Amino acid sequence: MSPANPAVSLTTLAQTPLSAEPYAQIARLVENLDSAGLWWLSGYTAGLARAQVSATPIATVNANDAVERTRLTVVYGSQTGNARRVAEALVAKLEGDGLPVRLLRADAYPTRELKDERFLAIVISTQGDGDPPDDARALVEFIDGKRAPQLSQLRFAVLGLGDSSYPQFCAIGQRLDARLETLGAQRWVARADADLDIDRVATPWSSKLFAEAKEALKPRQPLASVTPLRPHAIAPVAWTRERPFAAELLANQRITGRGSDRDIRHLELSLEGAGLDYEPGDALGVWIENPPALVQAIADTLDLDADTAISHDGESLPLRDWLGRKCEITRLSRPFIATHAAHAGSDTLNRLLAPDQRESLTALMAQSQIIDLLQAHPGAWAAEALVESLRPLQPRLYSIASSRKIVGDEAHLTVAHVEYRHGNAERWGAASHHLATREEGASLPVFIERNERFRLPADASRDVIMIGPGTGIAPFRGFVQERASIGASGRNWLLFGNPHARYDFLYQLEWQDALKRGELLRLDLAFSRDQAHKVYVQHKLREHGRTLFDWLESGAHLYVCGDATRMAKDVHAALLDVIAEHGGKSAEDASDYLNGLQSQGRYARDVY
Amino acid sequence: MSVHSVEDIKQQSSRLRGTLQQSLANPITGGLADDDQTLIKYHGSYQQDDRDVRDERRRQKLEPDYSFMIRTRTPGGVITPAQWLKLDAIATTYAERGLRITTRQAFQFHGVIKGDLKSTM
Repeated sequence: MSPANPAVSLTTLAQTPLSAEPYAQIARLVENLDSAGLWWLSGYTAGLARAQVSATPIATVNANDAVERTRLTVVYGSQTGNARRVAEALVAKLEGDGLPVRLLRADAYPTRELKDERFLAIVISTQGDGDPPDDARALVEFIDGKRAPQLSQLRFAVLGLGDSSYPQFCAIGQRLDARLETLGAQRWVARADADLDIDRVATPWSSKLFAEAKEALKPRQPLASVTPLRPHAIAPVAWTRERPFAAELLANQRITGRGSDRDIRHLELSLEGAGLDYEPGDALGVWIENPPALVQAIADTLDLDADTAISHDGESLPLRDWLGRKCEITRLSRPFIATHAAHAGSDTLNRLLAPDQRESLTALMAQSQIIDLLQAHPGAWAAEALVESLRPLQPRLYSIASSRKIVGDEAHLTVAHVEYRHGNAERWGAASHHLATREEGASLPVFIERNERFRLPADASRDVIMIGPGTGIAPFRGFVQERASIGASGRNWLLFGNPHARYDFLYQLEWQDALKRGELLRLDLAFSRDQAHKVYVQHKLREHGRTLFDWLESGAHLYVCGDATRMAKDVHAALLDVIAEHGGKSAEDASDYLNGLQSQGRYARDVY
Repeated sequence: MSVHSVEDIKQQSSRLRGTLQQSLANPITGGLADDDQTLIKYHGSYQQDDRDVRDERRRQKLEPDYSFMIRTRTPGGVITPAQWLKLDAIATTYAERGLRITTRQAFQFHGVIKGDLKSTM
């Protein structure tokens, strides 16, 4: 599916349903056509075929039954869209080969069908502390639970996605893989665990599955030969993760006042001419570069020459460029710590890697960057080995803070610039530092990352409750803009929190206007440091529990965006309490109620 | 801006109460509603904002940096050392630029933000 491929060459004669003569005619016909002509022709012939189909009923309807039974089901559980992307690419490839396959998001999978499923492939990510992505909670619970059926009829394959910065790396994929075997199912393709550089592991896994599927699912008698009209990825000039659009930075404005200890930026990017459409709730993917000072510091610490050319992955670049643009050089991962422990011959580090030291290791990974580890535990590295051991740099995803209906060809972001001191040295979050230090007019490689799970209600008369402390406010600025521009009749309730009202009230003037114009009905604020005891959004939820429950009962949609480690958990707990207290429910019923909302798409989270 | 005169505002203020209570409790802004800005002057206070950061804050999508002045009388121009220490402690906790003595024998606290008005008084 590389964009460099020409559309599709004519299939060999053996694969077509045509006899030699029309085949030769077509070959002559297309020989001199350019790609525009070929596209036109494909549409023209598809139209002719369609006209015939509607006139003549398909003769082989009963062949469907056989197909049903030997179909492959691909299920994905995805928080940020990576698992979805891998699953979609796999399905496109299988479909392209004419194999019977269906693709389902985990929360759309009818669990009662599991006992009859013959071939199942699961692509699923693991969130922070070993949790499933929101869309897969119910499915994972079902497979893990007592009601899961015996599955001796099933052959399965699991691909786990994760981030080895977390100790529970790919835990969900591993759990499902083990559990399906326990239930009597047969492992079809060995499980693979993909780190941030997903494709390194996902591509071989997908190829293996594809080969197996081709073997197992080929219809006994070919009912039809399907040739893809075009490779999946080549949509009309689509800018993708691999082929990002160069967006001009129109504005880079700090939106926390003097006196704030946070540097939060409002960024405006131009998408003019990109044809990049996004919906409120989507994220903007941004490819970033690492801070040059950090690149130099790493080279200096290891006594390496940053200008040495290094060959890796079929590419030769100076070490400076590998570290600056190609490798992840801030966030620690367990494998890197293990490799460095060997290089440094450090007993301290080796002890940390023992299973019973998990908490200390987690703390180390949370509090230190790669440079800190290299400085604290000196060890010799060859430049090649370093580039080999570092994970490839990944694009960062930011929730878009605008609606196209208001901002036109722009996308706005709300980015917290992460900067702190480690001893005497400055440390930054690589991505936020890169963005915060770009000047207006700079160009940034971007793409749209869809988030179908974080959408305004299709019915604009529904109420929405938006919980977005800190930079979690971002998508809700887009939501409120969107609802105002379409004149949505549903009520909008926003809950926001940050340390100080005076300096950290993000988009204060805009919310004041929205309240005046009635575009926002309620705004509840939790400024944690403005009084002796800390007040957070979850306290506000409890304080207004009665109203909250009434809104939910009348069909409101609930959205949470922001910090996953603490806030999302505290908010979840507060919601359960509110539902239990004001709905007169037991803890278990409250949990069912909230799960119900989730499965109806009425409790959506975008947490990181 | 209000179209009526200060006297109108006072007349309609239910004995200088106005909507001060709601204004003080409103968390969306660090300032007061328009008429309340007039009324609070009769309670020994006024609202101001830091002009130096007005433009900067507008670009930051933040409202002006509102704060309040509070004035206390000293009958006969005399206070005890204990009173002085107390006033100084209040100024240190809530006010900017310390404790200020005026030519009219009053103490003034500047830069008190709305949320701290009550505690300061």
